[in-house]
Amino acid sequence: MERELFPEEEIIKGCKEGKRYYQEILYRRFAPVMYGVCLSYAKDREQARDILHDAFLKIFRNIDTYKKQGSFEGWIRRIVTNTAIDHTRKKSKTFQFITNEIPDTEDTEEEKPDIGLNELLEQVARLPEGARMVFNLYTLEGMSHYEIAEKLNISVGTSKSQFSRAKRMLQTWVSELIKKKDGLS
Amino acid sequence: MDFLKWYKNTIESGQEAPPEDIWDDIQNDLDIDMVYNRLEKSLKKDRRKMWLWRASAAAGILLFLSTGIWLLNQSKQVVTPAVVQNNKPEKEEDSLQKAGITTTTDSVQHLRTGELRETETDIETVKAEKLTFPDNDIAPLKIVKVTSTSATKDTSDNKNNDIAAREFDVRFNTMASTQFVLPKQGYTGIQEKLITELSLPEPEKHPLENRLPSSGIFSGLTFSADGEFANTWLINQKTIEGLDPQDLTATKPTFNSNYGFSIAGNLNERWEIVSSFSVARQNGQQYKEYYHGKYVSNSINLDYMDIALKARYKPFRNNLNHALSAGIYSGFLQNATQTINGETTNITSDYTNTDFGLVAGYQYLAPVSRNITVGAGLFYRMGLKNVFAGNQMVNSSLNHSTNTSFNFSLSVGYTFSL
Repeated sequence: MERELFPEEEIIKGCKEGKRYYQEILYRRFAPVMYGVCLSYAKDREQARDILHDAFLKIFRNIDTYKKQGSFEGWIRRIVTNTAIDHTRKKSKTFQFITNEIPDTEDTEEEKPDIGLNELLEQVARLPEGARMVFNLYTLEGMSHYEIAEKLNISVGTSKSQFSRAKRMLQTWVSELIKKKDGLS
Repeated sequence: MDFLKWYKNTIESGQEAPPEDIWDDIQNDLDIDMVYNRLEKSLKKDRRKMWLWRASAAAGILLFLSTGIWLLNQSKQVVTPAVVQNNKPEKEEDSLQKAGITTTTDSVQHLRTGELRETETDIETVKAEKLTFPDNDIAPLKIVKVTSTSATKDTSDNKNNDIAAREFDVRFNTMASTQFVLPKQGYTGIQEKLITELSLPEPEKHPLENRLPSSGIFSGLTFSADGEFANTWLINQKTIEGLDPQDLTATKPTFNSNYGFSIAGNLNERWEIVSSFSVARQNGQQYKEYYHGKYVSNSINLDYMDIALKARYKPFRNNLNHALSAGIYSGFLQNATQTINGETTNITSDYTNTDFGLVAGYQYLAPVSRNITVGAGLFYRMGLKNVFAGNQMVNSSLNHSTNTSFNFSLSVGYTFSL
């Protein structure tokens, strides 16, 4: 049977029994998506690699605690996100934030900016880690500023301001990148 | 286009395959988890088994010591004159007749304790009385010698006393093979006088023979020099698994020698308290260790100074050469080394400073002269403490190790009577 065809319940059951075959199936199925998530939170690929490694170990060690409340992928993603936050906290006890005011920018007019994942991740990595966390938690995880403030132990105001500044900075950098690419072509 | 939606889509649809070595690393860590869990489960099981063994051994030794103390107390009970009864003279005669002695009923003088006060004689009367023991129908005979101080009122009593004295000689000789029990207090003087008057030879006593303590607890002290040839085991998960011939750790029997001395206090004929001091007691284990990518020979040696306190019991009344011992020991670590491929390193900090456990065994004690005894025996020592203190690599609980040994002992002792 192809790995992709295994029902989720069977994979979870196999993982709960500690069967390496099912653990590998689970890893192969979710690791590519989660690696992208890790890359968006991490400063570089090395850190993303460590986050993914630690996150999947936590998943396998704690799979018994998964109670089928909510999607399995959502459960995995929460572990990956929390691991990413823990990693960033370990590296620097206090998050770095954007301190200067960023001028307001408009959304790009292009339907699909011609920028690949790696190029986008390079721009995200330029953000200070605190601002990057806030931006990703809001955008990728859909968390509210209250939840983000609680999770990162910052004020709601900081979360809001860091989000808007991070968004503006990213937009600026993406626009600059598009212009640069257009100029080259 | 909404920037945030575009950002989310780009990140989540990227599906960049992570480096393959991440999965390899995860697998390695899962393997370690699996080994750790198995080890934990196994250790828990072993600990349960070990405690069962230890509890059984401790209970056995406690029972052994309790029985010994109870027997000791029994043997020390003093029979007072108040319990002396002589109200069944006909039975006594029967016993004499059974022994082949023909006596007339009136030739034997039976005096009750109360009558002794009333009948005052000027001659010494010796009589055999039967003691009544509440728990024993077969009571030993006791010789009682009664000496009066006043003049006789009735001359017929003198005649009777003469007859009684002659009868006593006959009866005493008959009963010579019977065991006599003379309480220490109250009869010691009578015993000595009786022996003197009857010209009985003073029995030669071995220093270890039972004697009532004249002063203190011990009737004698035996000083011994001890040597042991020991088959030692350092019991832990690795060495237990190594006993399986297929296992790569390949645990090998290890032999060491120990030296020391001991002092035994003789409580009575059959019980002794033995205190042993080992100047150099070695415990160790040889097995194969996974080291730098291959299995190599590893020898661990633990050097202790050691003290032990044992109760020694001679189970056979008729043959006091056999002795069973049981007790406790405590060891004090002097040095610990590990030799891998001929290279020795000091690992004293990896092991605890002390050890304690149980010791039990058998000894054959052969007297070569009145005071000198040579002994040979076999002892089992079971450590109760985890002697592995842990190090930077391995936690102490993950390598739970106990000392165990089978010891062939030789000893030469000299006994002083007190």
